[in-house]
Amino acid sequence: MRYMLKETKSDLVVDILIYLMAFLLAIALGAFLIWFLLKINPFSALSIIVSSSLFTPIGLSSTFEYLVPLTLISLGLAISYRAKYWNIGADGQLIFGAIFTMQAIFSIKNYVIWPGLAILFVLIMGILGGALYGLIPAVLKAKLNVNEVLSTLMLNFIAIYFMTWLVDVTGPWKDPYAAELESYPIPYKFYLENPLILLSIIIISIFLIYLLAEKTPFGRYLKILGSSKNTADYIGLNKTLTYIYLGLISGALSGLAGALQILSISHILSSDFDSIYLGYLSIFSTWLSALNPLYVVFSSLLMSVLITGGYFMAGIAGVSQLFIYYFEGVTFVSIIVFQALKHRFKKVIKNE
Amino acid sequence: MSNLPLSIFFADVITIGIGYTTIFLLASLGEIYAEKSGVLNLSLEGIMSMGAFFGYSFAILFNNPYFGLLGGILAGLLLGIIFAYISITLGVNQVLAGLSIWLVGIGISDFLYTLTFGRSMFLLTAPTLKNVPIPYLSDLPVIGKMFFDHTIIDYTAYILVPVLWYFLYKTKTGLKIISVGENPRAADSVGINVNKVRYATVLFGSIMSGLSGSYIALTVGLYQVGIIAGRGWISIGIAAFSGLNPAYGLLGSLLFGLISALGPSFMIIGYKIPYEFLDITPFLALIVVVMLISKRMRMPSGHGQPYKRE
Repeated sequence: MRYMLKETKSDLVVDILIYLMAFLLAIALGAFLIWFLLKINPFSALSIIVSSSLFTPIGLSSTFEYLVPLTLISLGLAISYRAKYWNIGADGQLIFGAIFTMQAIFSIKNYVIWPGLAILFVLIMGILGGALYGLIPAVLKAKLNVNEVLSTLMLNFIAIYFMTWLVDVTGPWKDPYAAELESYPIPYKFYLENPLILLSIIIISIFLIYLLAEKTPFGRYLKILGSSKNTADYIGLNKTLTYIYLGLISGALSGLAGALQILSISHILSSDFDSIYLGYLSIFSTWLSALNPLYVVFSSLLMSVLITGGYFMAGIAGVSQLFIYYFEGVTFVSIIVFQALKHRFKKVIKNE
Repeated sequence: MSNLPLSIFFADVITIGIGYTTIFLLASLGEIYAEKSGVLNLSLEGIMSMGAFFGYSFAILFNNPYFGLLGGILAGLLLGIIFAYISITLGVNQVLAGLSIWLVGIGISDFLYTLTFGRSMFLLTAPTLKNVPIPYLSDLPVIGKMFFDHTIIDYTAYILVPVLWYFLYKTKTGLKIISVGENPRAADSVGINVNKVRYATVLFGSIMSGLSGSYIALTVGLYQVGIIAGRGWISIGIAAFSGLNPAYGLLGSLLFGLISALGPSFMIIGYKIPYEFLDITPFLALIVVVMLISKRMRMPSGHGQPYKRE
């Protein structure tokens, strides 16, 4: 316990300085290739990223679009990683949330009397879909000791191919009039585009997860399970149940993200529904938040700025959008390197 | 007469399957060594993508497929060094390090491709690896064509299985690797340099997956975005399936190689089945198999833990 306290008491200024340096290095490395190949100045690249993603109406709304799912998914991952339950299957859970949502919409669309209630029902179905898909690796780990990294990875692929089949030419949901692999669009009455509602969903989720992680016995169990399995066994912690709860909660949040993605942004299910891998990106925003539910929104904001800014930069530089992967990868590498070197930096700064 | 398509089908499955097996075998053998020393390298998919791009471009630049293989090895080494530095020297969580290198690998290779060869008006094809029939054996009816008419990399991959098995279990260096994975602290106390051993195995694994990636590009002579199509992840799964034993690694690679060959073989005989179902099969099979053997599966005790000297 004393060790953990020592860890959390960190020098905020130094932390911010380190993140800033890492961010600049990442931009420099990302921009280097652009500069090298396309002759665009790294400093203007930096200003493009920040100004386009935060200070233009299109950029701001796009940043917000990424912020919602990233925050929701990262909240679930943050508590999972506290217990060292390495769920990396948020993509699959997101997709199954979206699939359940679509199925619910197709089933009830002709019987809607009060749209608000219908949307609530649809969202709950999305949550259910994600939770059920998140339950599979949790049960496999708890009952059969299957490594969750492996099972969630495989389940991601299964979900992606299943979704592709649904909207493929031979699949049941393919819109015959769409050129791409797309499903039928959802009716207008199911649209949920009000940013205030989305924002309040995020805030409520953060609040609930914060309470769960910090103020309940369950939250304490997670920390104990994460710090030492032997201690957890010694105090008689029910590991099976803990993993199952974690699978359900993180799956539910990813499923909610998938449902919101359908209702508020895409309005259709298509083969590139999750082409930027929101689930994998959430792993990084979770890590940057130091597994603290209150910081998750800030790290997700940073991630959203990176994604939106990256898209703008790709557009301006005239390169394909695959540039995003490169850019994000380089950013994460430099941030984790700087984070790992933090202690050495602190020593250097304090000696001065 | 009615038996004809079926026999063609099986011949196709085996001939194509052996090629697929090579891909999985190269990558998973490397991963087995890395994991045996306690490092889970999740970046195989990215390394293979990079290997495929380097393989393709080197083969075009030097107009020689064997330079392409060299390019694949170089790509693996490059990303392997970064991954090893982050996960071993800096001691960053291996899942996180692996996933970020995966993104870097996928990103750089696809980005570079769209900037260079992807801009060309024509689809540039690289020289492909030639089949080297083994004299006499390849003249055997039916099985000659199936088993003894493949590229040099295929033969190398299969020969590597007993070699790597022997090296891991019967030599002093192999036992060092195992001890580093099982109990790094104890290994350190008897004078084994834990991080040095881990660097060696991780770099070996990365080189193998880079080679595997370049093999993918050089058998078809093409590079395209998303060319690896999840085969890096399956290789990681095969390593887990094998219980980190190279011999079972061959078994797993054969199993998943043949399963992956079902899709193209169905296509050749013109049997219509949604291709997503065929794509799903290896992943589904992997989960089921790992579930079945999970009771007997045991990872090294130091698996996934960075080692810090105190």
